[in-house]
Amino acid sequence: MGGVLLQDVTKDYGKVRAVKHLSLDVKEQECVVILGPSGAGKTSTLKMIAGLEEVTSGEIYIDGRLANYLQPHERDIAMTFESYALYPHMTVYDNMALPLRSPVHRRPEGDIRKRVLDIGTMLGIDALLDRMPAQLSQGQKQRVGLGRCLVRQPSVFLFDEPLSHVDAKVRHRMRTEIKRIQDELKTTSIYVTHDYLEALALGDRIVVIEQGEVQQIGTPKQIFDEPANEFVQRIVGDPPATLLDARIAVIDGEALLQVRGTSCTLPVPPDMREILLERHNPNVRVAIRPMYVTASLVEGAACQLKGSVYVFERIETKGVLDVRVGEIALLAETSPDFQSRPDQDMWLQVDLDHVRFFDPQTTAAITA
Amino acid sequence: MNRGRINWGKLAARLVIVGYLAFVVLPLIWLLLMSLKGPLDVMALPPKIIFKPTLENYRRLFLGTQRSQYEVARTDFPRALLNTVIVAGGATVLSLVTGVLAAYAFARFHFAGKESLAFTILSLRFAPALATLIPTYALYRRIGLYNTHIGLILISQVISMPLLIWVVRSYIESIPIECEQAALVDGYSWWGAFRIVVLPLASPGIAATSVLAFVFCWNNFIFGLFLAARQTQTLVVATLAFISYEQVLWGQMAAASVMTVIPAMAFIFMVQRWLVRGLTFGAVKA
Amino acid sequence: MACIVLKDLWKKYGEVEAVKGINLEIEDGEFFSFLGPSGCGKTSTMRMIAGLEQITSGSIWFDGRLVNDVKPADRDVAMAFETYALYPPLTIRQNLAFPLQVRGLAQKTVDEKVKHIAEILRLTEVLDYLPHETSGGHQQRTSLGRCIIRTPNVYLFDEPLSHVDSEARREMRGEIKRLQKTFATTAIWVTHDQLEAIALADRIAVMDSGEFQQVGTAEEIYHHPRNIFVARFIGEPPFNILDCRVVQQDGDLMFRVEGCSYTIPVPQCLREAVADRIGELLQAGIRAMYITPTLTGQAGSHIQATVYVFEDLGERGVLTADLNGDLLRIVTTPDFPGHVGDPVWLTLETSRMQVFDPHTGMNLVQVNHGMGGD
Repeated sequence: MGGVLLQDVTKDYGKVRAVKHLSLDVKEQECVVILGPSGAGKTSTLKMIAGLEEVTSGEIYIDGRLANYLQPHERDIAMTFESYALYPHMTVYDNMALPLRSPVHRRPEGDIRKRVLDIGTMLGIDALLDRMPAQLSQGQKQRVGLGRCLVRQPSVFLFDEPLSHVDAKVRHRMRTEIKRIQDELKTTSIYVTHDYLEALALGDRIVVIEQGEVQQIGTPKQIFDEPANEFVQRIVGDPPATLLDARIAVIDGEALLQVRGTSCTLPVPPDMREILLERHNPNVRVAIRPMYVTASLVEGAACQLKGSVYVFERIETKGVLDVRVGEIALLAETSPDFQSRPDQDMWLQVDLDHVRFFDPQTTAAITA
Repeated sequence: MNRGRINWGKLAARLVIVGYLAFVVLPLIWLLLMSLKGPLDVMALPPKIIFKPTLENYRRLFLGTQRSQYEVARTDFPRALLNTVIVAGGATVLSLVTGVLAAYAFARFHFAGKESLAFTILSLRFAPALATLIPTYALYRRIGLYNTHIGLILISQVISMPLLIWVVRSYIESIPIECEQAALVDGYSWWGAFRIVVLPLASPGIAATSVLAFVFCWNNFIFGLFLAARQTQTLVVATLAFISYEQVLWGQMAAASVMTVIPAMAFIFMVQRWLVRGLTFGAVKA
Repeated sequence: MACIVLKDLWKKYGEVEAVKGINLEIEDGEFFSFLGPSGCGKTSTMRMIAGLEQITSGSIWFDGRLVNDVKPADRDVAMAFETYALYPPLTIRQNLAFPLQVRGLAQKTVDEKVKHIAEILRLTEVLDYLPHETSGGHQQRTSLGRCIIRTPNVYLFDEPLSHVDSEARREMRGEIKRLQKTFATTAIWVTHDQLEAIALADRIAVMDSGEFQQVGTAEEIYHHPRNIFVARFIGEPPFNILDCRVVQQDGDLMFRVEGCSYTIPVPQCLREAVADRIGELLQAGIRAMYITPTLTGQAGSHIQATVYVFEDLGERGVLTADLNGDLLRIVTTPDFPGHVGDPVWLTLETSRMQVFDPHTGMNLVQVNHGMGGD
């Protein structure tokens, strides 16, 4: 088990720069998740680590060795593909056995048989070993792809969005299983996804990437509670946090936030007061997660805002209420049985201890 | 289907099929019968269907020329058969080796002028062979390729190569590149991945086009006529020799034609197995 | 606006029975969802309603009018396809405008509507591009826009948001729902994603293997699943099910979990249903959010298990616990301090339990499930 080190790695496709000066140190036995929307450069990064794409500039070290000029089969890695990439003309057994029949990793057939059966049982696909890929369901194909990856014991596992084409229900179950496998095997892994739930569940650290640039690298807790900029703030959380434009003003000695698009004001949290007042620019962006907004049908003393209901959605264990305050839309988390009608009056209370501030020009977080 | 009610639609369709089959197959059967008839039966009018079959024509074909008052033609049939096998077989093998690799390059790589080059290769089939024959003849004589097997093999590439490249290219394009990449990551070099993933999956296309290429080369008349002499004469041209100034040796010509058709048919039956196997692997998309 | 009635509807593809004699009444103005796994027959049903598939037997009625033989164009439906089905040579703007132009609306009205829909679906920047020049997400939204730009008898949505990223998906769901309520148009939404169905629909039909498993509001389906299939299909994390037997203990009825000695008191609401099943093997279950885990045993704890894996998902945590090889899933706070292998005690909110017959899979407590003709 080795680590993976990327130093100032850049990837250009012709004139398009897909990855910009990415530096990342994945320690041994660590699972790092690269999280970002489609087109952010995450798959390109993974393919460069695998050796399937050339590095335009920068160095990649796998297990301490410079890997830039090594062929894929010379790097000790295993990879799952977004589209599974099973060999369509071979049975499930042969698909999983192939890595151990290759010139570089050859093992005797007896060993191969044992290994394939072990992994097959672990993933629950031992009954499918004689089938052809075309006869499998999406979930089964996904497991076979995973199995093919696990039969060897490489230095690094690379996962390329393994769950993106799977039904929602199967996805959640597979996510739990992958976490369990990772806990057991403790191999260095790099996992690429656009689903923040997978990132939070599986990553020891998360690298948030957008348009080829790293936005933040941190533990799941850091990414969730202390996002470094607006992009990271919005990518984690469903529904995502609402971002509002506001202006700091001092009225009657009290520091207040005047929210643009409404006539409402919110008090500034005491620990942020000094930092916000010291800034040259009185404009800020405020991020509020729906889980910290409470809605009620009656006006209470603690309620700071009043608006009208736009739409309500019941999601599983909670409800999401979209309330329009003036021109802005604020989302509040409610119980799943919350009753409301469109255009009904609604009062909102914001938990200001969990509000986060961002600079409107740089989108970076303003921290105390 | 109800008894007593005739399905006119199906009946008509069946009649059409039978008629078409008869149209195609009857001449071949007639050819076969002709090749088994003696010189008198062959010329009989009205044509005889019941006759005493003889293998005389085949014997004469294979055992060289015979002196008799009915023959002026001299032709070396076994040699022509060998030549045709060498030329058609050689041309197909050469096209396979270079064509499949070229198809891979077109399918997977991006380089300047790719589509222009691909179209140029396809355009080799546009021009009728006759139009280019005189310069080719002059060139061949000049560089000494006239009347050589190599010369015939090379000129036959014009027939077989474009076909192979175009069909195999689209087969390879339909193979997801991730399957090759998976093989690379699993420990195979490029060539290993090509052997294990690309070739099996493209095999129906390769088999089908190599059959077509072989048959086209086997049946080719023009090149054999102009660019070969007695030593490298191919079957089709050799059969022509049975039409002479004074008479047509129908019997032997029929025998020669039958011999020309059989090996090609045998080859197709052999390769057909791969065609069917390749197609039953199901959709290429894993 | 139309009320849609399906009577004994069958669809066979050769020998394969895709839809097996379903009966349904969709009210005028209702947002109805067909929910089920791939291959359950939901898309076939919708396509029969649209007129794109031949009906093998049975009938479909729009507002009391038999439409079996009516062509799709004459049924006045608008459909959004999962595979977008956009017109390739037309720009996004022209694609959106097409249904209105074909019906002869004034150009000015058409332009206004296109502008409005483009704003809602965030297509304003790409209006003058051709479909193949835009992303998959844009194309899918265009397909959706083309559907909702009219006000037909009924909207038919066939998994229209499957290729849109989650943030845009939530926003568009909200817009579509609001639009549907404003115009009170009957809408049918086909999906395999139960979260989506629960979020959007007034009533849901859960389908499997060509048959309706349950028809009802999200509330009914969630809290009173008619059978085990519905219980398991709806809900994320999935419904937990344990094999157990009803026993008498100190004059009280208890569920005793098979394979161990843990007992759970039978709640008031289930007493009647299990009273005549004492000693029989039953399947009892409860949803993940109605179990509370603690790392130390407490007075009301029912079961002790071991932590299998814990996922911290930011807004909540999902704990998977191992009870003699069965996995139970529990929703809890994101900072639950359990590690793999730790013992954990589970307390169940027994009033939320459901009991099922292990042979038929049916819930022992049946409320009116609106199956009509069931």
